[in-house]
Amino acid sequence: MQSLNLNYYYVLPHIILSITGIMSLLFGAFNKQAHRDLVFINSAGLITAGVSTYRLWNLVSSNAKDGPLTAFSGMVVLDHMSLAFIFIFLIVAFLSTLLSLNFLEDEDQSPEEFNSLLLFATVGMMLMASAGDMVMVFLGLEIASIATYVLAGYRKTDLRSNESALKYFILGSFSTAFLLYGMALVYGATGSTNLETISNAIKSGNNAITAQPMVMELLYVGAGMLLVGFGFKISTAPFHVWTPDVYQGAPTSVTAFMATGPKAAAFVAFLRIFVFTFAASYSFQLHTTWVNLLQVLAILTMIIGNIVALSQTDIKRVLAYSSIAHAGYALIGFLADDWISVAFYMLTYSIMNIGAFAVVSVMAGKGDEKTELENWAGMGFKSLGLSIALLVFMLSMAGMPLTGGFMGKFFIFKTAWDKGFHIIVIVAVLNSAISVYYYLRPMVMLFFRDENETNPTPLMSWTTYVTILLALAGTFYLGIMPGRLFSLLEVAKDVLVK
Amino acid sequence: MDIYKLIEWVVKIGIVFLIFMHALAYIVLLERRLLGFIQMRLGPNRVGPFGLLQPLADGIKFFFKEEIIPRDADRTLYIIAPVVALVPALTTIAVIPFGDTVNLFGRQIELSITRVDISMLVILALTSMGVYGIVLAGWSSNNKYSLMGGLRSSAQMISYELSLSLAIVGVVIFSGSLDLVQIAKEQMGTWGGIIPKWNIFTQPIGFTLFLISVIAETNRVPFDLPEAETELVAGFHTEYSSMKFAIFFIAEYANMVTASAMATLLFLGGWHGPYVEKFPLLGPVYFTMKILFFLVLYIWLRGTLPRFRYDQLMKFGWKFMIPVALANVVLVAALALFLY
Amino acid sequence: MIFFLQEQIPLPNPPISSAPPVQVNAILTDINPIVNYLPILLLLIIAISFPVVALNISSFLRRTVFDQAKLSAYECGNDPVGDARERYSVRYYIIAMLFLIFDVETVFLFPWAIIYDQLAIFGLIEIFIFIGILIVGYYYAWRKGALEWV
Repeated sequence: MQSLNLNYYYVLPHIILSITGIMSLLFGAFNKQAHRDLVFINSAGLITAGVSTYRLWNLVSSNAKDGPLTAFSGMVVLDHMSLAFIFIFLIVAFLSTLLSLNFLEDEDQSPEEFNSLLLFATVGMMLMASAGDMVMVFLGLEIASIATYVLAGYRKTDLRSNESALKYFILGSFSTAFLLYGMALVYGATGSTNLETISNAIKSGNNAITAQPMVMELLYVGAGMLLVGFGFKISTAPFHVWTPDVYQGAPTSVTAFMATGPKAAAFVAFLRIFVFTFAASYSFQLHTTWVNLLQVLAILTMIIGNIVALSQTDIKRVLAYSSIAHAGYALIGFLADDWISVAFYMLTYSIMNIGAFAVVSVMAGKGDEKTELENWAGMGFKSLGLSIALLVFMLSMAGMPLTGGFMGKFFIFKTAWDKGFHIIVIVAVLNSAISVYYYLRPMVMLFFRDENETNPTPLMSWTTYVTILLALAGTFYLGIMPGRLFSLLEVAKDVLVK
Repeated sequence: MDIYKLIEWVVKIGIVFLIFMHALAYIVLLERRLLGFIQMRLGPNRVGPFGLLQPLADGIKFFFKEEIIPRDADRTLYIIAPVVALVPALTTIAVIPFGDTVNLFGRQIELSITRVDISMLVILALTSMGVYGIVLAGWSSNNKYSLMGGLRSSAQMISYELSLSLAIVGVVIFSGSLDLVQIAKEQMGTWGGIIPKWNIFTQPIGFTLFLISVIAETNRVPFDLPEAETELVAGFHTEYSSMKFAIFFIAEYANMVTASAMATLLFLGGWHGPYVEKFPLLGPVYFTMKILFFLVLYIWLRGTLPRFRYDQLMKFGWKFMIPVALANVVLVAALALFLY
Repeated sequence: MIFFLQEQIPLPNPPISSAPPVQVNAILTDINPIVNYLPILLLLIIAISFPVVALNISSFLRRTVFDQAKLSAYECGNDPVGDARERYSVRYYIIAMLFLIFDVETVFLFPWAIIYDQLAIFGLIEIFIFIGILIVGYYYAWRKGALEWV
């Protein structure tokens, strides 16, 4: 008998977060000035979701030899990869919630909309991580994207914020159209939207419905479209142009969220579809094709991201281009078919990026007025702690040893090198060396320029303080003692080899 | 395709369409006479016996009246608007069943123009098209009253359409079908030989919701805000005259009949009544009587009730009808679970 | 809490029409049921031609005498002031958006209602959740004043 297999336990984290989002929406509707209470509600929901994710992780580990757990007719797949990424999203959402309190108190708008949208976006991202079906990938993507579009335009009366939201919306829908069309073509070729069925169809070379040999052209064009769509979402090189404008215009707390969360979510869906479904063990030819394409994309992305970042004068644009470059580094993990290093990389990237944006949000002051590097001249000694924190995050992004960024890059480069991708690794290392220049420019501005007397000392609320501290701790922890976490992930490696 | 089937359809369309158009004309007369009696006057009684030829006279008058298209109006839309308003109103009768199958001329003939399995959705889709005619009329006239009337009307119609469809969902839960014939057949028979098994007795809330929404949908008193004579000078059709005005007029009455037919089929058992199983031709008679009941109710309301204020109307629609309609859906679902 | 356990809920069986097979349409049973929509199309053509014909006949019969005052928009006898197509209240847009949300919801409710007898308790709980989430959104819109007109 065909079964729906409604297993609500497998989506418990999603359910908890949805309920928390609804609760904070209602709580805000009841109470004016509920900013602080909302942070507590959100944090409670996120921590509960984290606990239930941890329990699911144990469940998956104990069932490891039976393959991944599925529910809802294969719509939801739980394996170590989805849970690892869910953890990343929860951490991102938690840090963003903490970070946004200061900004929300400055704005005279409903904070519950921000907080609940943040949670809904997180639920969407989690659905993408645990999707076992292309329809589910699309649904999760839409839930996450639409919430993020609104977040980007949260500062309603600010033109830059509006511009950012509109650009994000239009290019986001554009890329979604690519993605959807690609899904339709892959469905046309393979006869299914379920990823497992698709991989079986690719392996057998037959359409799942008609049992006739599939039209390979459709599959390739569809995969290409998917590649373009995901390329937009994770901002790889030819499709990256929206990123700096959107990141610059959106409120800094929102930028911190959308530079990390939705990007990691796009990465996990990308991994799920390409590395897992279009894998070499199913179709060698298809695998070779997309690996070759992705190699070119990764090199382009790294070079363009790093070179253009050199000439930027706005700190948020610098960070935007740096995030493009980081997408290029992370893509190298795809070539090596290694989701673990990608997951580790996304974790370090998220933590250090949120930390950097947190510092920027404090330094830029109320309304994000001072994001130009010129404005920061001589501020270093006024706010020593912040500047040093920024230094740490920037060094981590550049890949300095003892920081998380170094370990992330190290693992990615190592697996790729072991698999024989020597050229791209060399290019990536050279790129990292280039990036040091622009990562250190803010430091030059902060410490070695004449002090601008008009700048007041930036003020910081305790939540932002905690955010930066947590991000610092995370960066150092991942840099100095990555072994425990990595070995935990290493155990999960068997998932790929079903 | 069977040629006899085609002939049957054409004949049925011809008969039903003619009867429908004549009925519309006489409903107008009925309304005027009844309103006259309610207001202690006689109403039109000069043309023919009891004024029975009045609709004919009105029709001829409409044909000969001068027509004005305002200078700044959008001519194309201005001319299209009444057609857009009328066409869906007339097309809905295609799926309304007015009786069970009868044996005529050696053929089994269904007493409806056609039978499709989603006739309820067809009617909902067509009636919600009617709002376009009103919006186009209001916008194309380039008259401030018309624009206000058109906007108000569209907002009102879409607001009440929600509670209308939610009330219908309750009936669909009970009958498990979107086929109006099936829905009517589910209401066949009686409880204990006395109370007919009509949905109105099992879903009084749904019926009330449906009735209120349908009156609002057809822009009748007390929800006739779009054409409020005293404030908007007839609203969306301020600038319309002659035949175009007549078409709006026909559309309104056609919508009333469709709405009454829907109410009958969904809640009053359609064509069912005493002895209808033995004599299927009684079906249309009962059906017409039930429709007449609703039409008289419409006219009675018009003669009795004052008009809502616009904010009251929207408040009522959004803050009372929709929550009650949602609660009704859940209630009916729970009831259906325990009853069946 | 049966819904948090790992359970297998069977898919509903294909719907069995509770109505006895209609003998009337013996002619039609062997052909595509889409043909039943043909009369709607026929009626649509008639319904379109009726106003078109009426308008045309009327245009032959009536007399037309135009003058400038007659052709101007009606504003209680005064000369019309400005253009009628100006900005209007944003509330109409809000109503339109709320309508979209609730209308789509109703669209989801119809198929649910049809197979409700097979879904039974599962269907009831699912619809409680569905409507519950909607009620929250509705309540929020209410609370934020989206439904106010004055």
